[in-house]
Amino acid sequence: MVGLPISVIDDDESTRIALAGLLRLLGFEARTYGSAEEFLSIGALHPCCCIISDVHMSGLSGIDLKRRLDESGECTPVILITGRSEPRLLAEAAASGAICVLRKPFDTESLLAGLRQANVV
Amino acid sequence: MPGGASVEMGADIFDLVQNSIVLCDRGGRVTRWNVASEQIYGWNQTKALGQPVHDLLKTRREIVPLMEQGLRESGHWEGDVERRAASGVVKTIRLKCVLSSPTEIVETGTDITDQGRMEEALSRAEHRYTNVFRAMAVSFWELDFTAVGGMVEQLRREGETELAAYLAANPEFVRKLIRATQVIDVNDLSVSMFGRGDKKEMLAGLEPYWPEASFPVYAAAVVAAVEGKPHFAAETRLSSIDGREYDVWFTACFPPEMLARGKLLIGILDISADKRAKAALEMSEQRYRSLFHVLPVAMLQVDRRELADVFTTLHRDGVRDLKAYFQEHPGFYEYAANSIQVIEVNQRAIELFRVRSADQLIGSAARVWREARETIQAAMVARFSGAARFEAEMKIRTFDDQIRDALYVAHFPEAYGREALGLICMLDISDRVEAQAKLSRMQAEFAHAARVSMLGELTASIAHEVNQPLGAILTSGETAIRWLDRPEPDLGELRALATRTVSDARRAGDVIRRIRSMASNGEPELIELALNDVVEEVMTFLGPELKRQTLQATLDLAPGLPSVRGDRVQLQQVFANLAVNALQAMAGQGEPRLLIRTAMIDPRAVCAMVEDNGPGIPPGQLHRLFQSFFTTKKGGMGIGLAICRSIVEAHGGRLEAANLPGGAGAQFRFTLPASQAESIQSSPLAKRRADA
Repeated sequence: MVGLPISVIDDDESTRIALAGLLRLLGFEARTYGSAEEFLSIGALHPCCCIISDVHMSGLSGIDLKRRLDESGECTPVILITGRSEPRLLAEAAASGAICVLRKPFDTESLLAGLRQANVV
Repeated sequence: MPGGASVEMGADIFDLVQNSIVLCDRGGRVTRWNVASEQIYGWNQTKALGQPVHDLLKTRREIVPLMEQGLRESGHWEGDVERRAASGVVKTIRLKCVLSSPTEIVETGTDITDQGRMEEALSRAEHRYTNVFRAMAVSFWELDFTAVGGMVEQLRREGETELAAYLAANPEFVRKLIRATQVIDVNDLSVSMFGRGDKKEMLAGLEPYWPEASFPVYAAAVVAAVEGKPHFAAETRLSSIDGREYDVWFTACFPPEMLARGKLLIGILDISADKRAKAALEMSEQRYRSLFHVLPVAMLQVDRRELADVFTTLHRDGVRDLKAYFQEHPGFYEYAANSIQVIEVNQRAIELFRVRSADQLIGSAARVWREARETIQAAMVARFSGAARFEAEMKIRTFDDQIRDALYVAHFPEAYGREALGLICMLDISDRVEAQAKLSRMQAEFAHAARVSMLGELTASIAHEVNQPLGAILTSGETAIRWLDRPEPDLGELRALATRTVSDARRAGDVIRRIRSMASNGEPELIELALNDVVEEVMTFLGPELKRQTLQATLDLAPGLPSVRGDRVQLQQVFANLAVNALQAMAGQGEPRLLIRTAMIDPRAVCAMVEDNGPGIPPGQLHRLFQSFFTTKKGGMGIGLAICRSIVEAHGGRLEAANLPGGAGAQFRFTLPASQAESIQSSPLAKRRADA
């Protein structure tokens, strides 16, 4: 599988590594970032086909990131993942314009479904 | 004349007698004059015979009609009269007159002038005794009452039977009586009290000393004398000759033998000083009385004399521990409480006990203390051991059966000694007690709700913490399976996946282990709230802690904020958490300052800020502050701020931390969306701006 890499943003290192490993196995190139800020400063130099971002991080949240991207006219699809389950937070995430919101723990099929929605697969 | 011979015969006998014997005809002219009469009066027989005896001897004119009246009515008269001897010397003669026949009067007289002098000598001998009377400030007056007796007698003869009524109705007649009352003698004190230094000046009528307002007392004395009473006494007001008035205790004695001589001794005791003291006492009593009735405290005056006596007996019987005595004698309390009598109550007491009038409270105090056995028993124990004062909180049952809280203060003034009149004050503190109970209730509820809410939030927080490694485990596991499905599995990759899975599983286990127990997630109860109220409630709750740390806490609450929709308890918890964090950050530093502000950012959002002047947040930790289990506090769980943030976010708001410019401390700021509903009226509590 060829194309642009997928960016994985999560402040949880383990999640980051696991996701990147899975994506590579699935044939994607994956780039990982520990925070939204890191992605915005470095990742902007490296175009990607999809952004998978955690919602709840110190600093900018995944939702904030999506808003920033929208503001700068950047339309790379965003998949939000979160370990939280508060309805209000989930609703906010869903309303942010993300392709989908995946609740941790999620299975590979859910992720693939999201990637399909993002027209990556 | 049948008796002539015998009289003739007796002439010599008359001369042998030492008493003056004078025979007069019915017209009062002297018919016989014995030797003793010559000696006493200085007139010889020749000069005396044929003369009207009273003219010859200048018998005091007021006496004569009385003598004649006595002779006419009873055939005899006796009394002391003053007569003038030929030498001009005034003599006092004790006279006895008898109508021996319809035409002849026999008068025998004894010269008691010397006797009077002897009496005077006697009184000198009794100087010391007199001095005592002087020291007692008694003014003595000897009065000649003879004329008064005549006037009253005249009245009686005119048919007046109700003397008292007559005198009451005729003050002018009383004035005449007073004028006719002659002062014969007064003591020195009388001169200094009522005169101007000249005793002689005073030996005249009584009128100058007897103001009209005191006429009734004079009249009463006359009535008492006429009715044969031995003495009369009354309080009245007399005047000195130059108009100084005295409150006096007036006494008059009417011994029959003195009355017979028309004389009267009165004693006058100056009680002006007494009166003044009494007036001062009355004034002080009046002051006490107005205080008693005006003070906004329920007051009961009790008479505990009986109990005081019982206490004395118990003390004498060797009882030392009244508390034990109460236990050994179950009926004693009832008796003791019943023995105390409420004798007076003020208006506030009437209001406190909700009775219609004071009468309902007067009587046995047991009825007043129906709910306070413990307290009253303690008060009695205190009194028994000599306490002069007892103070306690107690419950009282009003007469319409409500229970009120009161502060009970009993005072046992020592001045009353054993007769112990006690003063009991009761202050209705029901409102205070209720407010306190409300506060503790609120604190308890708050603590409980905080616990529940904390567990709820903890659950969410824990779920996040557990979901994180679980997500990684799931992903790693599925990745591993996909590797195994390959014809040539990469064993190194599989090992790495397995290693990470194990480590993530451990991480999840650690999270769980850190949680000792969990509660089900409490559903937030969303209502319209005034943010300022929430702040105020938390400050009330934290009040004691703020005081303990002698912290200057300032509330700057913006008025008229729009309401927010939220869970009161959860928001309280956020404030409390932020405030406590601030307190802990400032612990140990001088002049800690806490500032809590509320403000409206825009029409759709209100915000609250908690600022301290502590050391601030280390820059490297600012971004980790809200992570669960991140803590800089020894023994802290590191979930407080994480929970706070999740609460605020659950309310659709944001919680942010920052350092104040110039290292002035830390600021936590949270923003909540304004409710669409109308701004709700803030409670009065929140309107207060206060320094704790």
